[in-house]
Amino acid sequence: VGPGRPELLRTPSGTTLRFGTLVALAVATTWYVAGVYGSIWPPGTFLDDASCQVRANLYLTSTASVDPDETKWTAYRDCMSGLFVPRLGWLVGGLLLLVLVAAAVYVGWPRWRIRRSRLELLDSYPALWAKLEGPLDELVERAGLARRPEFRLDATSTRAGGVAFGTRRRPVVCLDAGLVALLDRDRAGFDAVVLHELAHVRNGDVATTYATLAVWRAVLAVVLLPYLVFTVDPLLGFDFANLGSPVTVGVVVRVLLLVLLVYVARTAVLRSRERYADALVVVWTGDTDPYRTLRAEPDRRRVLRWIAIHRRGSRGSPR
Amino acid sequence: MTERDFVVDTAREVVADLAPDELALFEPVSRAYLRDPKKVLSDRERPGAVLGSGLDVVIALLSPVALGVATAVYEHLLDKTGEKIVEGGGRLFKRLRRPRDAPRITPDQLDELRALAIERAKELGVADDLAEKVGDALRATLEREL
Repeated sequence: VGPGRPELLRTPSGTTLRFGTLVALAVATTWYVAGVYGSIWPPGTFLDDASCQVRANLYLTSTASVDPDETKWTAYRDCMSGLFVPRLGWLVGGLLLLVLVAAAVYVGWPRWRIRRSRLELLDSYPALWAKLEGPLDELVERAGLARRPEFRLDATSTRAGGVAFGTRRRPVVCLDAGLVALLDRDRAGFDAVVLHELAHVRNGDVATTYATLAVWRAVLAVVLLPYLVFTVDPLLGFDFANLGSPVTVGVVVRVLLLVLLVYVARTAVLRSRERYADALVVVWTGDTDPYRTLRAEPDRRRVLRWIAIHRRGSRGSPR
Repeated sequence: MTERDFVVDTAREVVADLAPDELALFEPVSRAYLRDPKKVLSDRERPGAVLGSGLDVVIALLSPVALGVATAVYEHLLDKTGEKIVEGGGRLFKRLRRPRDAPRITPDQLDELRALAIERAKELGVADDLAEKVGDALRATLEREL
């Protein structure tokens, strides 16, 4: 298979669509939670929802049946729509905070990762680079990349892994020390793992991936954590008496379900890009099982397999 | 000779002897080890693994083991040096500081260090036969250098 554009690359991976779903869910969750804040703050307005029900003579949760009187519903909607503008600040503010936190994570995380893990440039070690430059350039060419990404080394990791990250303009591929050692011991395994990371660069999904994780983390930081804290322990007094209330439990469960949906969407994005990269490695190597030499004990933790990003997850030492 | 010099030089000799294919990798690994030995010797999964290649497979690298063993030997020698100083000799310590002045290390001491190296290598998860080889290589290195 040549380095040209394989048929597979013309097939949509669905990653962008899944990412769109994730963003929509994150926005909906933030909108919902910001709306709840808006309905209880400032404190003088927290009975506004209830007063609309009284004015319209429509008590939403008092019976299990839906009131058939359409005039009551019209009066209720009119009353509630008057509350929308005063609460708009909460809604817009919540979304703005979500975007800001997500942007900060997206921009800052790759830099933080390089700094924290001290991922050094491979070409800063002349002896090592002399050994790797040729094989890596060959793989970059096989992946059809116009230019070499920034190769870095995680010298503290003895795993046979790698990771592609960074931005669309400046993609970074970091190789574990264990993977570098494979160059002499298992060239096919080395090629497969490096090609997998280069496939992410070729697909252009590095940016999508970081955006996905940034959105997910922003939802946790902006929506879930503050909401749970203020719902369960509003006075921050480590008094969890609120947890006994069915209303609190209902609210917490609803938010948790929304966040769970965001998590599932995040996993779907990450999983689809991994599968797509694996498929490209198969195309580029012409081997239907390119990781066979790196397969250790299969991970038998069933629940973890359900939510796993990688289908081929295995743990231990190579066979 | 500083601890850093002793550990890196000794470990490099062991790697050159037993796993010459790792020599190019030795420099970055030894630098990382000197910064944070526990991190290099630990095989815990690193943060950010969710974005990695998904292969949680550990490759047997000799460099971290050799560095860990050399550190154990150095610490043992320092302990011994302390004892010698108490005894009024301090010759082994002088040997580490000024190689030209001090007497050669005895075969018994070399055997003791070899046994220590084997034990430490096994603690670091190395198979028995390779641990023996590490012990032999370390003994040969120390015999040459000290």
